[in-house]
Amino acid sequence: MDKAVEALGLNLPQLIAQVVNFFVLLMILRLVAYKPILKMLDERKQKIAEGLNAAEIARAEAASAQANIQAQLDTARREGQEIVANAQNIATRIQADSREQSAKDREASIERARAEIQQERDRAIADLRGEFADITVRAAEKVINQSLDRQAHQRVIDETLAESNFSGN
Amino acid sequence: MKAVTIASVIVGVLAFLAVGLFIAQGPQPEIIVPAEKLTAIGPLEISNTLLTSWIVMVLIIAIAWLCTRSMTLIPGGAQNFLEAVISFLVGQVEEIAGEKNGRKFFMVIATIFLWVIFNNWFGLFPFFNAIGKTEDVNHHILETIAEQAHDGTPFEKRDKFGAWFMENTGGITMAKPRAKAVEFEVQAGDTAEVAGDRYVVFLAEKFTDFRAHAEDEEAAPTKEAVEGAMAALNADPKAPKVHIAAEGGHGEAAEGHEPVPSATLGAIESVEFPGRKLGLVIPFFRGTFSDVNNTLAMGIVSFFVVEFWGFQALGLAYLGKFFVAPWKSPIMTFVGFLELLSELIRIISFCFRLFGNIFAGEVLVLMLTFLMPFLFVDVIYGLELFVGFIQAAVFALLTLVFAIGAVEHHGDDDHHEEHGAEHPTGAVQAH
Repeated sequence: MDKAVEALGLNLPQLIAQVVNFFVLLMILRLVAYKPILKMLDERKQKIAEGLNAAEIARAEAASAQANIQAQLDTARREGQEIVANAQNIATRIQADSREQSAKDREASIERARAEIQQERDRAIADLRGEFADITVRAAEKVINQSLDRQAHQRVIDETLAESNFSGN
Repeated sequence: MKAVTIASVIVGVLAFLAVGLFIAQGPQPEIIVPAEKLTAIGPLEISNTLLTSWIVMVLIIAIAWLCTRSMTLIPGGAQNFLEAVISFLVGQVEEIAGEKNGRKFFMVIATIFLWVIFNNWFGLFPFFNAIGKTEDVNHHILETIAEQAHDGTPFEKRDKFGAWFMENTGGITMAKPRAKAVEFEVQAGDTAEVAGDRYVVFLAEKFTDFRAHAEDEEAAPTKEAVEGAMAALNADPKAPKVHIAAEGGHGEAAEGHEPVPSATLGAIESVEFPGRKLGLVIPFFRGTFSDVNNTLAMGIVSFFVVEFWGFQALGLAYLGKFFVAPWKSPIMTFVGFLELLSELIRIISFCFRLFGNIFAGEVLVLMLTFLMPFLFVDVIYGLELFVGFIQAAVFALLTLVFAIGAVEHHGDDDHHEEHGAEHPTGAVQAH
């Protein structure tokens, strides 16, 4: 055993020194490397998790906002369409109304014109009749040379006219 | 065309090897298993492996400090590098040991890994085993024989003193390329007087054309041989001169050791080297784990941390793994004893696995720089990088696995408890 120890150069002080070396190194590395780096790694892991989480939330929010906007757009479009349809209805109605009105107006004006024409004609006929009676009377005077009383004449003429079936119509 | 290419590659390789062999051949290596001592502080002898380990330690700490000096959440440069290493190690350890134990084991396991791999890779630098202080081997030999003479006992075992022929001894130097090694041997049972005679014959044989023609190497040199050797040494002006101490004895010799007794010549006071000298380069740096002390220390560290975690996790119940009362279960008593034994044997296996690999690697590199410089050495360097990594990984992983084994519950009772504890959680999960 002693020979083996000597041949291998084993000696206790160096053995102890080396064990001490290791633990000193362990302590120093713990201080300058492991602790700060592990802390940093954990911190970063947490940060990344948080970041991913935030991104997830943001994406969800964006998606919901998108949906919201879409819904609003849809509503707006529908409303717009409704408004347009309404307007078209109204326009159609107005058009129809105006057409009806104008037709009515035209009718009325035609009617009025017709009435005026009738009146005109009636008056013309009445005038004509009066004229005609005078002419007839004068003509009859001339024909019969008779002086007739005016009332008798008028009666004869009216009878004649009635017999002749002459009317304004 | 293809044949020409192959031929030119072969010629190129051969030329490369030849150039290496003529220009860059290393010295014939002197393989010394124990780490060489450089100096001593009190009882602590500073060997070159210990010095190397301190330098590596400073290096690791400096790198760690530089990398973590100004940490930022978004890593860059050096911080990124160390973080990658650490997070790789954390990942591995946690994968094997689980989240909770992984964090507990991590620091020690990572330190073992980093410590071993840094030392192994650092030891591959070319200034390792090459630059050092020179040792005066002549002085060393004379001193050893004088000590033996002082004790008055014969040499217990065969002893070898390796040396290179060197122009100078003393001071800092680099191992000379192509230096030839010589070895002076004393045989078991030699008295100091015989060893003195042997040394004179050895000097004559190595420095002059003198040959002792000894049929049996282990036999003590004859009187004629020693006298012939002295004559040969004196005849050659460049050969070392052996100064015989005057009768009546000087008390102290100039070189700080007592006169070396010689059976034939009386007493050798000193040996003077007018030409080449016998010296050896004691390298300042040698791979940390090419020294059994250091690997054994790591084995012990590994053992202690494993046992510590075992006690920490299980309390005194941890001892139940090893000590089972024979009236409970005789077989388990025996198994427990084997477990205990294997815990202790692990230290040895840790120690010699690492030592063997690293020491063999160093020897291989030294041998190949001597035998086949260039090319083959490069291949071996690549191999050594791999071995260095593998040994670090093996050391760290085995420690981890043993640690997991130590903190695990053992025995039937504990298993029932575990199962009992598992069912409710399973039920909860089912819900």
